[in-house]
Amino acid sequence: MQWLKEGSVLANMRQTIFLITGLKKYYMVKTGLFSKAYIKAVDGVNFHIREGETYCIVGESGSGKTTVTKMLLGLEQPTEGKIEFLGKDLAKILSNNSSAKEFRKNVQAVFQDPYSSLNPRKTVKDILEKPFKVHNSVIEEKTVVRLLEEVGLTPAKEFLPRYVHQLSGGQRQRVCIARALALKPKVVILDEPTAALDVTIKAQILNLLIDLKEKYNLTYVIISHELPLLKSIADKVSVMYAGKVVEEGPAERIFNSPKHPYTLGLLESIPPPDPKSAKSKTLPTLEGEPPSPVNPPKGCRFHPRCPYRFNLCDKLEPKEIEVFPEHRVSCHLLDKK
Amino acid sequence: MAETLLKVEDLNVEYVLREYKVNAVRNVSFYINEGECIALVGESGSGKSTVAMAVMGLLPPYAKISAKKITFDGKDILNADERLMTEIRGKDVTVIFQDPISYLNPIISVGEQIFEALMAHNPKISSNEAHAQAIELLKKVRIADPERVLKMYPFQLSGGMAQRVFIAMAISAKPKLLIADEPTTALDLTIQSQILKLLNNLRKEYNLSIILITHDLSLTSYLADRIYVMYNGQVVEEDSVEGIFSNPIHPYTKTLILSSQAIYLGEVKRLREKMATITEKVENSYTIKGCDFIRKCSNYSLECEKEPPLIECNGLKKVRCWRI
Repeated sequence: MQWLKEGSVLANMRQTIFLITGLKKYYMVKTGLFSKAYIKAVDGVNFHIREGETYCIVGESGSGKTTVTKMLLGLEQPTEGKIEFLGKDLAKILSNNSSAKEFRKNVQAVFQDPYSSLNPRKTVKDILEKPFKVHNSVIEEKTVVRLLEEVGLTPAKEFLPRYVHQLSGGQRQRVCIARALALKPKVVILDEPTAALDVTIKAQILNLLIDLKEKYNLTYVIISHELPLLKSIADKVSVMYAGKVVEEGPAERIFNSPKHPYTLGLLESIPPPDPKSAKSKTLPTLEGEPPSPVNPPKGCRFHPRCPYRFNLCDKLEPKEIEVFPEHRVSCHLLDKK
Repeated sequence: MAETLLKVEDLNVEYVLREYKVNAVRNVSFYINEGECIALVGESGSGKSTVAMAVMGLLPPYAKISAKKITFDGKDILNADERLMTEIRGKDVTVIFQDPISYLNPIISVGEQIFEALMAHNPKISSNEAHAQAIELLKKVRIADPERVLKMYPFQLSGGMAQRVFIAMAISAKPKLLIADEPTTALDLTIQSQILKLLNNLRKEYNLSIILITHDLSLTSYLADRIYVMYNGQVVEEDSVEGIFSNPIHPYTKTLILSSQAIYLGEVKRLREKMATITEKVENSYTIKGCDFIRKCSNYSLECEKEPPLIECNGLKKVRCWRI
């Protein structure tokens, strides 16, 4: 297996963009006059995001994936744990105005709902000029036109004077992407970039993202609950469940040989667009609902829904096991001891 | 042979706003048999929800509906008075929506809302009986702890649970037709497959007809028998599920199927070459004349500038395209 190890050494040589260790975020909720509880939105996760990678975080609603993005963008303070951006502590970067500005220039975001993340009173031109204004750069119409052409909104001149309500959902998302790219960032964080779009538009936006990444050597962090979409774009996938990462690894490993029962269940429940396939007749399902983040189950958080649970699962929290270089799973079934 | 439950012929819906007129639905005809599931598939703005709401008589007053004929269970519901419609709505025809939490009353407990649904169609029901029936209904939709859920308020429910409660209310009067308008769009993958299964079970148990409205073609392969593909207010292709998937003819149906399959297989990159033969980008300011798909279609000819009719092909298939 020497060649495999060498492969992972090569991967390690790429620059680390984000190094996240033991990240936790608890929100306090009042449950009575004097009593309180904590919503454990994110409960101890580690990520290692390298340059030029498309790193995908998958999970159902309430799994904590959006909270992770907010912390990566510096919009939320972690309760515990550390985020390092290019080797520097993110909290320190953000405490200094000029380094914070530099960070914001390098790390841009695209959000799920292009209807609410664009200002309805501004034209496309205003929206795309804003990042340059904020960062005191020179604005040339040429640059803005190029940005629009880059994201496939042609003829660009026709789109410049339009308001947001004159654009379709797909066009709006393209404007959001253009805005994120305006300052030539290193990293783009995309939170459910295609969730609000129609299937044909989804495919187009995915292709656009793939093109842009190749052209500018971007690093993507994509957060999504739509597992099938990620198949076309992901390099690495982290599967989150109830605030924890249950499985992490190279995309082709996650999609082709998933090890955690939850990942397996997720992949199984994707309905195939083909009435002839056997799966479309039976449609395997994973029973049950995700647990409450206030009071997650003891032991493995997935055990109440797991079809393979045994007596250890509700008692002991599973440790992370590396089943393949870079492919880590937290499940007792794989613990050989 | 199953009997036709709902038959709609040449439905047109026009939204008349102050200065605008929008033809949201144009010449849509469809039918659904007892115990059958049909799917209306199309992108947002294609008019698929408007069709369903027009049938239910739930469109706002500025919508003008006209049709040759709408019959439900042998009754003419196009010219029906409000009294007959109220009788049919909620009892024989019910609807579930994409976002169940916003359709449930936030300040009334789940139990009371189900009792209300039960009482609306059976005013003489006793409270004990209503309670027992509500529990029964919640068990039907596979809610694990019905007693507890009855006392809960909508904000305490997860999306999946709320959709189950909504389905429970929808089936409380043993309807003949269930309209499911994007029933799983707001739900997670694992919950989506649970809800689809639930709908399929109910369909078998009650011999329920289901109109599934969705933008996601992959959902139809499990549940639907026949598909109507809608584009820009018109039905552009209709066929059995197998026929749509194995032999799509209209270029829009083709792009829809290729896109969903490419996403499913993770081959979005290769999609572009395949799509190039069907669609190409045409200038945005092109005025539409004739076929609606003309500005996206790469296989158009002169005759496409006339509006194509729905042309009958083999079997169940009908296509609105000149180039077949």
